[in-house]
Amino acid sequence: MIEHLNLILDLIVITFAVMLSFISWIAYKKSHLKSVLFLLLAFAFFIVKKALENIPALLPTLQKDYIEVGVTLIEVVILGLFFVAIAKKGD
Amino acid sequence: MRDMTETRKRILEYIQKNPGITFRKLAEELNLGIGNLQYHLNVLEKNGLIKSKKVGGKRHIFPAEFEREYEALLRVISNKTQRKILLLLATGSKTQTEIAKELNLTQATINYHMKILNENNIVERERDGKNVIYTLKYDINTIIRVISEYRPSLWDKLSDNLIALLLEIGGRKND
Repeated sequence: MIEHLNLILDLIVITFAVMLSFISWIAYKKSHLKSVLFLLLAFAFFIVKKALENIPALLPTLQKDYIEVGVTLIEVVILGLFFVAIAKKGD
Repeated sequence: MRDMTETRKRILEYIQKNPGITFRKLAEELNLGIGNLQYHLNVLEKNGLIKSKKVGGKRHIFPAEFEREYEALLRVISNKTQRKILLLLATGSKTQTEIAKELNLTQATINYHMKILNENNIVERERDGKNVIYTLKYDINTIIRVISEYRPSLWDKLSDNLIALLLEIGGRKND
């Protein structure tokens, strides 16, 4: 039951991340602001992160440690991209 | 034009007088059936006499020679702030300070949008002492016609909000 709920919540998160990526893509096409591009990348990485988190459910034989490191690394990248997007001063 | 039917000639002349007219308006104003108008527009477009583009859910029709200019116009009106600036400039030339005051935007935000409008050849900038005066370089009627028919999609509105937010974070209050 809780696994199903988790899967549903993950799907909601992925849907939002896809929507935000799409909005960022339109905004980038319109403005060519680099800060928007960094946001777009951050949202795209978020989708990758969520997908990666769900890999153990699909491939139980895979080493969980590697996935955890990968997920944390992506989290660092996402936060870094958010920081750069804010620090870019709208350029 | 030589081998054109009277109806097709009438349609082409109307488009040349009203660049950017929408399909629906054209059908209404020329009192033509949708199927009939569609047929003639297809022939005109195939012969390279007109160009049409769907923007904001509506199909706008332009004379072919207008192509380079209309691409730029349709690109800049996809942004809410730029639409507001163009409508304001349609009432007359304005300085950067006046635009900023009327639209409640910072000088830096105006700079950003005016740079885009200038690069796309929609406005002309002229320096007058300390002030920069902006004037529309485009036919005012076309701008008003195209903007009044423009209906931004939800995605357009959201992306405009995102651009405004980032400009604000970067010290450029948008709107």
